Amino acid sequence: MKHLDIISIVAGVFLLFAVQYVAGGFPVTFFSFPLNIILVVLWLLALWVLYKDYRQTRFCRFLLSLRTTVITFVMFILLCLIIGLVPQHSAMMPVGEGGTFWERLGIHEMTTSWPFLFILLLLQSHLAMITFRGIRNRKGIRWRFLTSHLGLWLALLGGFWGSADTQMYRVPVYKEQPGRMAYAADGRVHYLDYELELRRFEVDYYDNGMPRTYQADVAVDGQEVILKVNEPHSIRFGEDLYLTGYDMHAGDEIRYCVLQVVKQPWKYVQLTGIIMMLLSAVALFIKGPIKRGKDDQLG
Amino acid sequence: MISWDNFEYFVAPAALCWIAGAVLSARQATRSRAALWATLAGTLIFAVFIAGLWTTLSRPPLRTMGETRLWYSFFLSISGLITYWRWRYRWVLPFATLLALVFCMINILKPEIHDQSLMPALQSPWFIPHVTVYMFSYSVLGCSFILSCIGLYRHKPEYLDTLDQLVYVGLAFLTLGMLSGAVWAKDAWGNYWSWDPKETWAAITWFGYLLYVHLRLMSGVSPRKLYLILILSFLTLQICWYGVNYLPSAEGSVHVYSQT
Repeated sequence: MKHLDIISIVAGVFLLFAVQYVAGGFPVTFFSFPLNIILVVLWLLALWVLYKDYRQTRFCRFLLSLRTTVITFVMFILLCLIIGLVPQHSAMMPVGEGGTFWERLGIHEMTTSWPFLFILLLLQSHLAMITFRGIRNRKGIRWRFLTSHLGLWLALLGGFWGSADTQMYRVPVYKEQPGRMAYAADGRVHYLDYELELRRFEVDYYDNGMPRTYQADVAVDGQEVILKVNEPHSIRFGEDLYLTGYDMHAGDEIRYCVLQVVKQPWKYVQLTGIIMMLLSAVALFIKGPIKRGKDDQLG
Repeated sequence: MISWDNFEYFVAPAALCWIAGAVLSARQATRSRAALWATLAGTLIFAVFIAGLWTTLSRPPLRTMGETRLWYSFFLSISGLITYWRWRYRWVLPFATLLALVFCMINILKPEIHDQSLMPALQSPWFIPHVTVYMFSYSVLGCSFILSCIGLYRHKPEYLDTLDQLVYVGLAFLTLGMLSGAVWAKDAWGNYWSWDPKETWAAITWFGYLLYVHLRLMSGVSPRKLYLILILSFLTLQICWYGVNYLPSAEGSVHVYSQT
């Protein structure tokens, strides 16, 4: 059957919309460290064995085919259109049994829905497979091919598998009151393993009264650090402190500011992927289009 | 002292040089040295104004919307110059010139925009490269849109070769814009990517152009389909650029700056 690949992918997406309807959103947090690392290793191993020993199987050829690239892109674009057109709720407010038909299909929480994650996983598997092939086979533009595809793969991998390990908390920080209480998006309290206290807060205003710049001098366990918008402070590996807001109505005497703690240990994987893609974009500009006919074995 | 009051006296000669460069490059199929020199001269005149304004203000002119438009024009002429020097596309200088002058005209006709202040989130070294590479990419992909419309009406095989070159340049700059935005977003908001409506439409646009690039590697794809993909991708780009502000999904988007 010529269109078995399209039929399978579309059927998979429909099936997972049904799963979404019955079971609700994907349990992202379940896949936190170390389960995500274990699964990534097993998944890559499986793909490698598939590539090495079962190249002639239909499934392996499917994962290597240029048609799969195109079908996956189209499906990904279609699901992104839902995200782009329908207002998205925070994943913290799941739609229960009471939701309407469309709500229960996950259109307001698309990025954590089964069909969307399926397409992302398919895209990553496809990228991994063509990267295996690219390492061995590609001539000529191999360097550009590998940086762009491996870069996108790493950026997706870090975002996809790392999301279960990403934690964000809001922390109100007061003057003369050191504290370690932080709040998750759903209101749950989390205690930081360091103490924060606001020492000084400076705001510089435009003539029209709008804030131009502001900065907070915050003591982290007694050590003073300066926080500004766009200039976070790194607490430790994978954990950063951001200045997000302050006591806007206080006039000159600002009593507190609001910080955000972001724990994202996978950010280094994402950043590596992003840097590789940046390099490949430069290469794309310098080298220009692939000459047709020269690389016909692309597949 | 160079200030906004003398802006016209710098724009006029710079515009003349740029237009001369655009005309010279469009008229001949091979690379015109005269066009390169004329464009370079225009860019240098413009650079003198920026440097002078910088000195007068005793701070980098990055604060107001009017000041950032200066950089759009400046970088557009430089990107156009590099692309022409490297690729010899005769369309690139006219197009970059047109867009650079549009931004100059806005600054001349709407002086009140000089007073508009830049909110703290936008004050970052990433602001200028992020926006200018996007502006340049939009201009090149705009060109591919026009050519695709023509091709849809009457197809010629060589259109697709030109479109390949346009799309590769546009996609390269689109990627640079998107990823510099991701790195900046990590510094500003804590995440490289958070499926904010503007980011989502940027992803749709990016994958649209990737779809074109990969379909071109396949044989037997009808030109009509390829033209349509480029037309649709350019439409999603418009939604990403400014249309997203009018979508219901963008309520509360961190990228809508006009409301603050």
